[in-house]
Amino acid sequence: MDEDNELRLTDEGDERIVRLLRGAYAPPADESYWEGLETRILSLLASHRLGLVRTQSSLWSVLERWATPGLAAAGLLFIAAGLFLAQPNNEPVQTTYEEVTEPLVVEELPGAVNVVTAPRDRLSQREATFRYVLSH
Amino acid sequence: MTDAGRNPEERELVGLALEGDPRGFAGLVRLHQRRAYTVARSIVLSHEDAEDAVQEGFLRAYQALDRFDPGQPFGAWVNRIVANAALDLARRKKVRNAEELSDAMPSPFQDPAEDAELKARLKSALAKLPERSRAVVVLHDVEGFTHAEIGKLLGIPGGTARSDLHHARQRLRGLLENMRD
Repeated sequence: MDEDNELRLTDEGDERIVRLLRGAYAPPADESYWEGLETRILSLLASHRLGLVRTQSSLWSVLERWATPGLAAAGLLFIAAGLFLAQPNNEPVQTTYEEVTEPLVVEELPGAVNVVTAPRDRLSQREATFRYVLSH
Repeated sequence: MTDAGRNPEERELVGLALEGDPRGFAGLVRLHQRRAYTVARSIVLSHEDAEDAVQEGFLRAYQALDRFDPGQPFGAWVNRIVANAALDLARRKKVRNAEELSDAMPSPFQDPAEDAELKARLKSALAKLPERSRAVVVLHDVEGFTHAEIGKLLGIPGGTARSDLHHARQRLRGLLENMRD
């Protein structure tokens, strides 16, 4: 890698910041500390072998694991909802059509005049006239 | 800084660990725990969290040992796992007080009053940096890792590590205005 790309803060006049950072991030110098940490790690592994410990599964890890299937499911749901809403709504149209074309069932009132519709062919017209005269 | 490499001791320990001999993994822990701590400490805000991340990282590595390629350096592999454990931990504890930065910070200054003020400002500035930015600055400028090595550790391209470093330094300088020599 180009040396210029790896300039440190110390190369740019920030020695003081680096000194502070080194102080803040200095690992423990005591050898007994490392022996203790090693013992704790190995105890943790032993507990794991005995089935007493599980690794911490963070919310982030779980979210990352489910992000792709979750997005895919959401996408499918969105498409399904879009298709459903885009469908022509036939039911109200059909109902309106039937209301217009079906004859109304009206109970005949007493004394009401029977309205006879004149049929279109000649024979039926005569029959209708005859029925009208008889009814009066 | 490069990984310690595949020395004969590490090769032997990896072989033992893969055969299920507990002495193998114990030896690998002894060999790599300091570097793993450094990696974890660069990401989280406190010594205690770094310890937790190291333990969690070694446990994850132990569980995933059957997926380890013996042809690769064990140190680089385990450090990557520890870095992920530290990032998980940092995310879980994102809203944290800057006070959690160790109070036992060694003093590199003569004037106690100035030292206290600078330490307080450094704590505050570091806590304000996103965990990845903080890690990139510490790993590069304090621990001497290259952009490429940092990229491998944090799972990002080397160019991204370089860009992160540039922005993190700018932010840190802004937060620590008047502190530079």
